[in-house]
Amino acid sequence: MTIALRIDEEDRTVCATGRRFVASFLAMLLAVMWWLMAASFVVLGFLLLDAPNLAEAPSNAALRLPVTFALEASHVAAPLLDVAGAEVRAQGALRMPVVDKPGVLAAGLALTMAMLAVVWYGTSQLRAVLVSVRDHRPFSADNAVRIRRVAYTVIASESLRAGGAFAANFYVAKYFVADGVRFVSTVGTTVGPSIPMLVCGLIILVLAEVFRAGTRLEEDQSLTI
Amino acid sequence: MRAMGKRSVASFVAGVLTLALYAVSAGIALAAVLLLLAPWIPLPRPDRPEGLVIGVPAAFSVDASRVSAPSIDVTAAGIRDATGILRIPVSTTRVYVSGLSFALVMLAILWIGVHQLRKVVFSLRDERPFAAANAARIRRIAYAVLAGELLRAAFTIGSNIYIARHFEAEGMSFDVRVNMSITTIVAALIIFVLAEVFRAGARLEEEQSLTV
Repeated sequence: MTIALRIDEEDRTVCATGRRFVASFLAMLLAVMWWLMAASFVVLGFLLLDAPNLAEAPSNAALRLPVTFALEASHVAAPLLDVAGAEVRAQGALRMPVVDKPGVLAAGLALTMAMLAVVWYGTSQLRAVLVSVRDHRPFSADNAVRIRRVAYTVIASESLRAGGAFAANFYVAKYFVADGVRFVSTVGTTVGPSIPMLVCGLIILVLAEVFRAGTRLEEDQSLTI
Repeated sequence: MRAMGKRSVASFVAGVLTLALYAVSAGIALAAVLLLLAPWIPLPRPDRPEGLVIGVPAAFSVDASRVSAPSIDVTAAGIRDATGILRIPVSTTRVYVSGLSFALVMLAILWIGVHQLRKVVFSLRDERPFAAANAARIRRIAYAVLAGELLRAAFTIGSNIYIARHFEAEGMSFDVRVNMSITTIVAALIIFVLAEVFRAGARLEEEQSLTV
């Protein structure tokens, strides 16, 4: 009786402080993202099928390639502050026209679709977990497996992103030139997998085991008379 | 590979976080000492770029006419949405103190987050995932992530305005961009939800410990 009363009070607290609202809001947000990604995937699929025609037609079609570069110190200055030479290390997107380059366009589209598919899968798993939390079933039997899949998705998408970024940087450094700009393609702090992201993936793997432990506890309790 | 317990993923992550915590602590100590010594540190002349420099986030675009790839017949490419670190010589005490103060605040927030996460991961390594304190620790991590992101975004906008107002570069235009990471904000909200899951687990464990 005491326990039941306490849980009811906490449920009211949950509603009042908006904790359930957060899970509900996130589930809704991820549902919107899920649909947007699914739609983008279909559109990109059609574009990939039509890549040869798209590249031949005179249009403004362009790819955005991730680039890492350094700007020469002599180009940047702040006369009002008496600063004569400053150096910029930067990352950005190189907008490259793809007229007459169906191979480059197809490769870019295929890589984007692969990334989107991995992120879409991770989002669908995370959304299922959040829906179960919203419905007060955080330790439902499937959640540990879903969270494990989210962890694999984080690690896979980061590896894929780093691989794609390295390929794009290598391509740009090999073919492109710009006055006062030096394109960088070596694996290092700017081109390469993000260590915090990979550690996040490992932490999520551990969290999956926490959910498994919770499921076991809940099962044990459901067997208690 | 085991996720929890000795010689597991949790144990490895705990080691990584311990190293990170020591590195952040050393960074805080160094920044604090440099801040205290501010009045006595000789700053370089503004026209001499060598010496003490500070990294400031910048946002810019590079003119299309400057970027090309002659060997593959691309004549007008452009760099858009570029972000980077502008390294400028520290020539005034005001820039020196404000830069170090911001770094100190960010490091302090990072230290709180890593410290709390490390405690949680240690409890996982010891196979006590639903320790009573874990829900509160995870909630603190969520607050640290939120605070860090808001502060970073505010500093980025501030420095973008400063750079756009004072700096110029041939063939480039410096922009002011609101660079808040929605992914990080969503991650913080997910961590809040996770804290509630840990609270539910702790409650279950407590109830089971009362069962005869």
